[in-house]
This record gives sequence, C-alpha cells and structure tokens, in this order.
Amino acid sequence: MDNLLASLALGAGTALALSNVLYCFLGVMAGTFIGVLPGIGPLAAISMLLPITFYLEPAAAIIMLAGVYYGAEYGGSITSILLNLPGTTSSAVTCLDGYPLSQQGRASMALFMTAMASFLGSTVGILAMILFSPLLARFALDFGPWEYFSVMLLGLICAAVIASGSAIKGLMMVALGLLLGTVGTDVNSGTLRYTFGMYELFDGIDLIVLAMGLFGIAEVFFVLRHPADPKAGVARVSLREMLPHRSEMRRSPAPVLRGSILGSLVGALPGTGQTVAAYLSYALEKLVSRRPEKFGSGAIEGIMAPESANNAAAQTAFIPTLVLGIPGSATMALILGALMIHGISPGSALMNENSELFWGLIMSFWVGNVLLLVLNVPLIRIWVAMLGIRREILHVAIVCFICVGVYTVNHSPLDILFVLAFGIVGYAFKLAGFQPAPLLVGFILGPMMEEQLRRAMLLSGGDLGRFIERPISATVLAIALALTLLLMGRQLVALRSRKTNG
Amino acid sequence: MSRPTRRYHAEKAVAALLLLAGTIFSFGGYRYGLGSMRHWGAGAFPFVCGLALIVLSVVCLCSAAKGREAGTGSVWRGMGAIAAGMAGFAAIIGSWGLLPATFLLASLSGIGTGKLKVRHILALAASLCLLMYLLFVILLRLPLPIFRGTYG
Repeated sequence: MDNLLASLALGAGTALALSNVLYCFLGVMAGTFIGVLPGIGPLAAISMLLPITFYLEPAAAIIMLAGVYYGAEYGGSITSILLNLPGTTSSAVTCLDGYPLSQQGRASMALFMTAMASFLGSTVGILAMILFSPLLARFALDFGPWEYFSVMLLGLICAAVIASGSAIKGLMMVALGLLLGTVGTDVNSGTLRYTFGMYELFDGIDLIVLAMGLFGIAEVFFVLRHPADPKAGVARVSLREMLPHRSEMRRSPAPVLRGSILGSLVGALPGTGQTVAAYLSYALEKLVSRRPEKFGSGAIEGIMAPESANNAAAQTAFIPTLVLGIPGSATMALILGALMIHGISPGSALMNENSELFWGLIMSFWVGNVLLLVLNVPLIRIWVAMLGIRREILHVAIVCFICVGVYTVNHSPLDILFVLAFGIVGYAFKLAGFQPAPLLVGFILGPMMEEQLRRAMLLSGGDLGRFIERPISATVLAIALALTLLLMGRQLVALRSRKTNG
Repeated sequence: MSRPTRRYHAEKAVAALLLLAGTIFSFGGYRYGLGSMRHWGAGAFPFVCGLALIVLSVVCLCSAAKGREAGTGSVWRGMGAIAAGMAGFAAIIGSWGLLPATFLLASLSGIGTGKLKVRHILALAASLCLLMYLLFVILLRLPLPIFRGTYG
C-alpha cells in the first residue's frame, strides 16, 4: 500500500508539472475539436500530431497524445447527440438515445449529462487502473484465443441486441460486417480476398470510409426524404435546461456505475476496447431496465451507461498496451508506437523501470478529465448553437467535411467514391429498417475474431470442444447462447402476434 | 388484406441483396480454400459467415414486415446532386486542388437540398472553401493541394 501511495505521489508530481498540464490541456482541447469533426477520429488525429511529439519529452508527448485520445472520445459523442453523426465508433451507440433527446429540444441536458457520465466513467476507470492494474494484467494473461473469441462473439450478439427493431436484421448486419472485414490481404496466408484486382483494397476497407458512408452520407440522404420539423431540435441553453428532470436524475447513478464497472473490465481486455464496452453496457441497461421500450426514443440510461462505459474503457485500455505491450485498437497501437519512438519499451518492466512515466500518465488522465469537464460545460452553448443553423446549410457542410476529412486520410479519390457507395447502401438499409451500427461492430471485431478462431483451432488440433472445456470461455458462450435464444424467442412472439393481428 | 408498402419492398430488396452478398462471399471463400479443421484456410471464415448471412437473409425474406412508410420528400434529385458533387470532388481534387473541388462539391450539394437560392449556394460554397482551407491547411497543417498543385 505504501508502495502504491509512493507511486501515486511520484505520478502526481509528473502530471502536475506546469508544462505537462499545458500539454494535457492542448491534447484534450485538440481531441474534443477533432472528435467533433465527422471523419477525423482519434486515429487520424493522433497520426497527425505524432510528428509534433518527436520534439517533446517522452512523458509530455504521451500525456498529450493520450489527451487527444480521450478528448476525441468525448468530442465524438457531441456530434452523436446533436447531429446523429458519431465522431468516433464507440460513440455510435450514443446516437440511439442522444439524438432523439436532441430532437426533443433537450440537447443541452444530454450534453451536460454526457460530460458528467464521461467524467465519472473515466474516474472509475482510472481508479480501476490504479488498484487493479497488476491484477487485471494477470487476468488478461490467462486469456487464450478461446476466451478472446468467445468474448468477441458475445460482443457481436450484444450488437444485434441493441439494434432496435428486428434481431434477425441486427444479426444480418453483424454477418455483413464480419464479411466486409475479410476484404483485403489475409494476414496468415497472404491471400488477397475480395479485392477484385483493386490495390486500394489490399489493406482492406478503411474503417473511416465505411463509418462515414453508413452514418454520415446515409443520414444526409435520409433527411432529404424525411425533412425534419424546422422547429424540432432548437434548444434553449440556460442552466435550468441543462439539468435533467428529477426522475432522470434518479435513474442515472445506477447505469453510470454499471457502465463504469463493465467498461473498466472490458477495456482491460486487449482487442475489445471502448466500442464493445459501450454496446455491452447499452445492451445490459436495456435488459435490466423496467421500461426497455423507452430505449431508442431518448432514455437517459441510453446515454449515461455507454458514455461512462466507453470512457472507463478508454482509460483501462491503457493496461494491456502499457503492461503487456498488446494494443487493443489501432489508436492504442499508435500510442505504443509513440512510446517506442521515444525509446521506451512497453511491457511488465515499464511499471518498474519507467515508473515516473507510467504513474505520471495515469495521474495525467485524471487531470485531463477534470480539464475536459471544465472545458466542455461552458462550450455546450456553442455546440447547441450549431443546431440553430439551417439544416440545409449544415448538411452541405457535413458532406464537405466528410469528403475533405476522408481524402486527408489516404489521399485517395477512390475512397470518396467508396464513401458514396456505402452512403447509398446505408440509405437503403435505413429505408428498409436495418440499423448500420451492428455492421460496424462486426467489421471491427471480424478480423480479430478470425485470427483468434484460427489460432484456437490450431492450438486445439481442430477440436471445437475446447471452447466449452475452458470455464471462462464456456460461461461467456453460455451467456451468448442464452441471449441468442432470447432474441429469437422475442422475434417469434412478434411474428406470431403480427400474424394474429392480420 | 393491406397493400404492401414501400418499406416492405425495400426490406425484401435489401434481404435479397444480402442473400446475393452472402452467396458471393461464400463462393469466394470456397475458392480461396477452406483448409482443415486444424488449419483453417483463407476462405474458411468468410465461407462460414457467408452461409450465416444466407440463412438469415432467407429467414428475413420470409418474415418481411409490412411497415408504414413515413417519408414525404423526394430524394432522387438531392441524392443525384450530392452523388455528382462527390464524384466531381473525387475527380478533380488531385489535379485541380482542394478549393475548386470543395466549391464544386458544396455547390452541387447545395442544389441537391432544393431549398437554397443560387446566391446563397455560391456564398455557402465560398465560405466552406475558406473554412476547409483554414481548418485543414492552416490549423492542422495537412499536405493538401490547394489550387492546381500548389501546397500550403
């Protein structure tokens, strides 16, 4: 315990050094603004800022990049709520209830509560990191490919659960996402799959291209067909309007607590990350809620749980990256790269050999989150003012931001045409009542699932039974099966009642 | 008996397209090689997922819901204009640069909304060009061709 306190004091000394606070502030501010711009997620933002950090001290560099990372997480949820455009993939789930709230003229309340949920989630994540970092690292080490595969499968089933409407449609979207994730070079054999001779597809379909097409452009097309009520979404931004109703206040702490704990746990597992954390927590809230029918139409639990979960996971995602050297996501891989550029090798030795940096970084997370809260509550007025702009003007601006943003990633004009194609597909999906969010989860998890599955089959000599022989894997698979049966049952009941009603 | 609505047709059409996609992916997976249970080939995973999509699509085709269609606006003109703008942007950004490409995209998308006057569209396009330049070139310092191969 004394050791831990000494480490924390050491970390606080590093994090509170004036220059580090300044870089942390710059990081979270840049992250928030970049997260707000659709098309530029934390991945692109960190890649852009990486060269700048070459000239900084290692601690300042990593503190700033980490600030961009969780600042963008928060920024991403702002556009999810206001425009139904997730700035980051993990905030896609916030659209489901955040956007309806915004349409009801309660955007400022949703943004205020999101800021609170994000802050509380991050705080729980940081506490989890401080207290359980070594333990969680050991737990994650026990995970074999069987457990990874099972957890990801559960994540996919949960993604189908959250799709409001038909479970079959949710599962179809997940399957399509998994298939789109296989496009490109197979990492095991080098075989080119479904590239049709286009070298732009050799590295697979770009996540940003897919997300911007399915969410951004499809939304613009959809609004052309379903013109919004001009009075809708115009919100007042007094302090009173920012505060939730008393009943909403009462319904908030439990989802935040559940979301934070779930997010901390899921975030610590490499390969799962914030997106799965956000979806899992949303699905959990929907399952435990006494009024699940309210989800999707502006339920406060629907923003509090995923926002606290994804922010908690954003913090604990550093555990596998720093302690095991396994990046959980592409963004974490970049931060890992930044560490290596500064001559620091991540791994279990980091905690001892570079304890000042390790604990300094952890303490800076808290500083960064306090800064985010201070920065964002006054900015709510500015974000909500965006809603006052005429929808037509906003949509033209969104199309321009998406096109220029996507072009900056690979400098490939073909990417713009892919965005257009996915936009048309996404519009058709929306028209037919298919939600694109599960597709995105399948697309992100697909390649990792395939790798883990192939590894599992190789290690077990082709024996599928190993999945149910291992206790953690068996438990997770049992939950996944129970959820699937529940989904199918619900679907059958709905179908039967429709037939009886004629 | 109620008359099938547009959404009902859209649902069937999307399910049929996904059935086709599942078939293409499964067939492709089979061609890439399935391998053995121990050594999964490059095509095994897409083959299995493709089969799952086929089964789900068939179930969906059989149970398509006759929902209500709430949309009122005409989408084809707007979609066509935005698509033309995006295609034009992709075609000229490499050779003409960011500003002409953004101007073209914003103008065509503005026409697509069907609610803006010509002078408003031109003013909006010019403002967006300035905004993109300030944000992407000046603030984020991204190497983008601004005008005919000139970099900022």
